[in-house]
Amino acid sequence: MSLRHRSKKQGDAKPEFAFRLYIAEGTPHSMLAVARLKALCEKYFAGHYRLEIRDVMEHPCCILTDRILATLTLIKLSPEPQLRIIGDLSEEARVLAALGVISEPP
Amino acid sequence: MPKRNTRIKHVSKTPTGITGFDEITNGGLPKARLTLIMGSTGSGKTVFALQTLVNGARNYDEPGIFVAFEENADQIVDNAASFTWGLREFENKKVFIYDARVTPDLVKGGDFDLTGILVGIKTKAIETGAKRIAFDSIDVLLSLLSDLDTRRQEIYRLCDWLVTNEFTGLLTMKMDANDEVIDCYAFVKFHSDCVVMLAHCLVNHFSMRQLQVVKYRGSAHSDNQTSFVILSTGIEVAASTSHELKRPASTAHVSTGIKQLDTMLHGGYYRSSSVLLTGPPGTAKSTIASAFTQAACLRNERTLYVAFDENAEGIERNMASVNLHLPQYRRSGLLYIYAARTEAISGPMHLMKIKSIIDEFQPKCLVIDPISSLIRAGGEKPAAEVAERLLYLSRARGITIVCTSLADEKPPLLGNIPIHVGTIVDVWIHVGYFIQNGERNRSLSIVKSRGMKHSNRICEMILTDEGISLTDVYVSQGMWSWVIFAGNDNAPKKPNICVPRPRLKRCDRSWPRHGPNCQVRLKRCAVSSNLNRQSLRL
Repeated sequence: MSLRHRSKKQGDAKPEFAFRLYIAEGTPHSMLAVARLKALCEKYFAGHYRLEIRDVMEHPCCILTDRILATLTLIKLSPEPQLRIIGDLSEEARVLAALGVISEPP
Repeated sequence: MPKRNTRIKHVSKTPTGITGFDEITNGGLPKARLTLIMGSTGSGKTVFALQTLVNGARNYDEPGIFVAFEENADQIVDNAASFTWGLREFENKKVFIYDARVTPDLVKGGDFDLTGILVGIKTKAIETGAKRIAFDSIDVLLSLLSDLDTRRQEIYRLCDWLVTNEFTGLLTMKMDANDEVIDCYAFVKFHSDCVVMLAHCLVNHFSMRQLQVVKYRGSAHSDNQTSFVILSTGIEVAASTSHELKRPASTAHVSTGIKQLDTMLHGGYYRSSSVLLTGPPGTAKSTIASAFTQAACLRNERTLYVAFDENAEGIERNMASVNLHLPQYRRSGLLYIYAARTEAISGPMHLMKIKSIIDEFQPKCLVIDPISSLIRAGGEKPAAEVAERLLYLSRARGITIVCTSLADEKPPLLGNIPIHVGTIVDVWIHVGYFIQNGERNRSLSIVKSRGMKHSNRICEMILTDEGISLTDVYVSQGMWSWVIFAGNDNAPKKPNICVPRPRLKRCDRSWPRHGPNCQVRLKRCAVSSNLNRQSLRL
């Protein structure tokens, strides 16, 4: 019952995706990742996503609260559950699988 | 003339506060550099790292950050509660535990670098004033990197970061069962300025821990394997260093507790010297050691008696039978009897236990009874090492040490004492049996006594209600016979045992079986033995 109810709700209004990406300003990895993430969001979550990009140097305190181990770290804040992806998002298939866009990584 | 700039920058060091480790490295870990601590499972890497941080915070005004990749802060604090460090009171103030666990919700989506965590750590370090940073164990995070080059790059980044920010870094790294670093991390060894290897193995069913400083850039260090133990105070390395030997030799004498033995040694043992008592079972080695103990207590000197596999009450009861009364001293706190169960722990562990008691109790005299028991706690080699360290330790602290050791019934020769310390000790006394004329009698002789005149005689040792006494043996017709003629008019005069025996003429000492004199000698001998028999009937 509840399952069907939830899936119906999801179908009606697309859930809003909220992302936070920690980067190290000025590094080639970061520039690339930002571009990749933007492209990815536009492709799969167009119109229902929020993206916040934080530079670790500017927000050192957030590193502790968000428990950032590596740059780059992408946090999917919503929908639940929270998810962390580390790396420059070059392994697109894995990223998409983790986000639930495709079912299995190749 | 312009002065040449001859300033050479030496590696500056920061002490770990780990007993023994700072000695073998001449001062501790390289300051503002990276130290790698390698070891297999359960070898004590985390303990080493954590203890270095706690000591830094407590004793050297160097707060620390413990970056934990495997456990959370609570787990670490709970585990450390078994040590006497009081980590809980330090936590978040001087030793901050940085939770860097790779959580299950973490997905890898490409290559990354450590900038994120390093910025986080630095932020915290500025806040707490941290100087020491431990990473335990970073391979958890590095293993997420796809190839060796990226991993290498991140270690470079870490080293660079430590140096620029003047942090002293500790990195723990796992080794597999064969004590090899997992291949892909071997490069870390080359990037570190100091590499410490911790090993944990079983020797004759006893757990033995070994520490080795494999590498130390720009510094002399002891690169031998050194045993260490983990006690409630943390890691203690059994370092024996040269400075332990730098102590003026005392010329003062301390009594052995046996009047005649004092005479034989021209006043007793030297203070802070080491004494070895060897002999087969039942030759009253413990009694001689107890006599020394009582004499020390009478001089009002704190004495530690380490008894292997015998409890204090047992020793006191046994010694009371030979007029040695120890309970009063134990009650007054002058005497501490430490009853050790030999096979419960390994030899090095025994050493550390004894050492910690010495540190606490500060004895002037020490008895180890018997030191040969240590063989049962892990075999001969570790036992010999432990015995040697105990002797050096006592010498360094100015403690007079008496060790007993089980030896076979043969006269003492190099090699037939189980723990070969005969060359290190200052005084070596051998006690044995002479079985003759249907009697088993105890004998005592001084094998060596460095730097003092001593008697060369073999004496008989008699245990009575009055205590221990030594008497000279009577030589009759080239045969040993014991002086048992006390009160008899025929008894030969008791000679002074500290004077060397006048040399006998060769013909008297030999026992010729041929020649014209032979029959006459035999007759004389018969007369002599008749005399002996008569006197025995008394």
